[in-house]
Amino acid sequence: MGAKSEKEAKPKKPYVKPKVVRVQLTPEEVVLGTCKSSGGSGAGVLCRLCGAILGS
Amino acid sequence: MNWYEICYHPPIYTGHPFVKILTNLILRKSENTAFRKIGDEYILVPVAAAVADVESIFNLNETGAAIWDKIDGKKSLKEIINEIEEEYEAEGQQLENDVFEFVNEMMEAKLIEA
Amino acid sequence: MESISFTVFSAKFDSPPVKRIPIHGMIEVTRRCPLNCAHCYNNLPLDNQDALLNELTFDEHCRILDEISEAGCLLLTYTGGEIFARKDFLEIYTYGRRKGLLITLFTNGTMITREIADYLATSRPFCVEITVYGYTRETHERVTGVPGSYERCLEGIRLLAERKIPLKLKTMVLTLNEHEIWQLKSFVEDRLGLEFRFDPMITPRLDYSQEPLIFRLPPYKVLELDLKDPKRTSEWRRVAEKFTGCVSGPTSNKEVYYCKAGITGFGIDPYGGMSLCLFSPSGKYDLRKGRFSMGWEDFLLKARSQKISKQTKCVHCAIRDLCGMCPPNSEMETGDQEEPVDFFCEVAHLRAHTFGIPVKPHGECRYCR
Repeated sequence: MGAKSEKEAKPKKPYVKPKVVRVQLTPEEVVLGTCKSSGGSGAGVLCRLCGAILGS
Repeated sequence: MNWYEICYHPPIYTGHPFVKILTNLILRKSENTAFRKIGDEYILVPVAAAVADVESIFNLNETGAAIWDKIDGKKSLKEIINEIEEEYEAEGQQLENDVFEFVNEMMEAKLIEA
Repeated sequence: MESISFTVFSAKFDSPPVKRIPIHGMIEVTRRCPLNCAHCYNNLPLDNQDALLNELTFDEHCRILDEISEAGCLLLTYTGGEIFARKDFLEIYTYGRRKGLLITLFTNGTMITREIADYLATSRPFCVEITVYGYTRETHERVTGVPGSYERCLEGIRLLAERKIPLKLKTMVLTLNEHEIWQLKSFVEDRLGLEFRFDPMITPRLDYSQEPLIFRLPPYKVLELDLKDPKRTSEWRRVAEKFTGCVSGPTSNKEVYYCKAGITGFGIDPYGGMSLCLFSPSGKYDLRKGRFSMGWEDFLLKARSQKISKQTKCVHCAIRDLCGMCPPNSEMETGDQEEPVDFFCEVAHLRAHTFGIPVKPHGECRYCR
């Protein structure tokens, strides 16, 4: 009975319909990329040395 | 129609004679899938060629991730739906349909098995 | 099921407020390499026993992979040296794949065998990037210093391409191979149907040797490359449009680093040294002695938050993003991570002038005149 009241008392989270989205794994072309910057990790001007991306 | 065909023919109407069979399904996660939480994002990453599509990863929303978390090879789909109903502000019939649709898509992508 | 591109998906992690999560990692598994490229910043001989004995073991790699996965790493690049110089590399790679990491492999292609290619076909990497240095055998091997390396590189490319493994080719543009760049580009893009990029920005070695710079193109030739390649020209124009009229200068940015190293990126060397960037010659956290989470949360945060100690012309320069200047390169080239590097400064000003980006005065800078 105590456990049931606990469950009832605990506020419910807002419900959003469950969703799964497919993310296509196509490494994007990095025209200005350097030799050591990875070509598959999002937009933005790339750091010339490491795989990190300069903020836009 | 058998339950297998129904899985691939949404929408599924509560009250259909096969709904009872579906809700008794025991689901298990594909062994060839890694679950990742990166920041606020939930991601499933296929890790072997056995998974239908290794050229994609899959991004779940929070409810989807909660369902994934509850799949343990022992709980029935009905039990999972009940747990979601307890944790979320969700209506019974709509919730069932939503979960069936979600499970259907996950099975098509071979991320979960019955 | 709804489908989105990886670009759209990864933009979620770049959208403000940007959280400090170590999403992008680069791990050097070894600095040993069968090649002896003229411009290389870190290579050691393949049979260098000291290096070999000091490299992280397989178990250490696995522990680090456990820890970086737990911390939120998603995109991991393995580089070297030559990654396949490690006999256990595929085991390390497999462990990383099973953690759910999206792995890119940087390789010179010369050690890729049929067995390796078959394995990668069953456990696909996110991408493999192979560096090829010339259109002809003569030029390629003039750069690599190893006879036979051209054929082995092409064989590696062939083995991966026929198994439809995601593959990109690239090159460093040196004085030794600049005359073949356009032929090479055409060969890769038109004949092989693969993506190709090139990079003319040579750095010194990690041991501070300036030898690679002998082969660096002069700044005006870097601009010639930008102008001769329609894609590069287009990209620089796009960058220019973004910056034109927004020349506010980084006066509010008082940190030494201004890239995303230490925000979403990190590097780990072959011996367990973690740093903001693989090119940081100094300032490492020893992962053999501490956990990744400690290194990320404490050591790298401090390194990333480091404030500038002096006013240089770079501090007030609004075109810094055009030059590719960064603290590790400053340190390798001048010995001081905050010191401007003339070469990069000249390239940036030439680019600004060429693409119509106004350069506000930013201190004593001879390239502004």
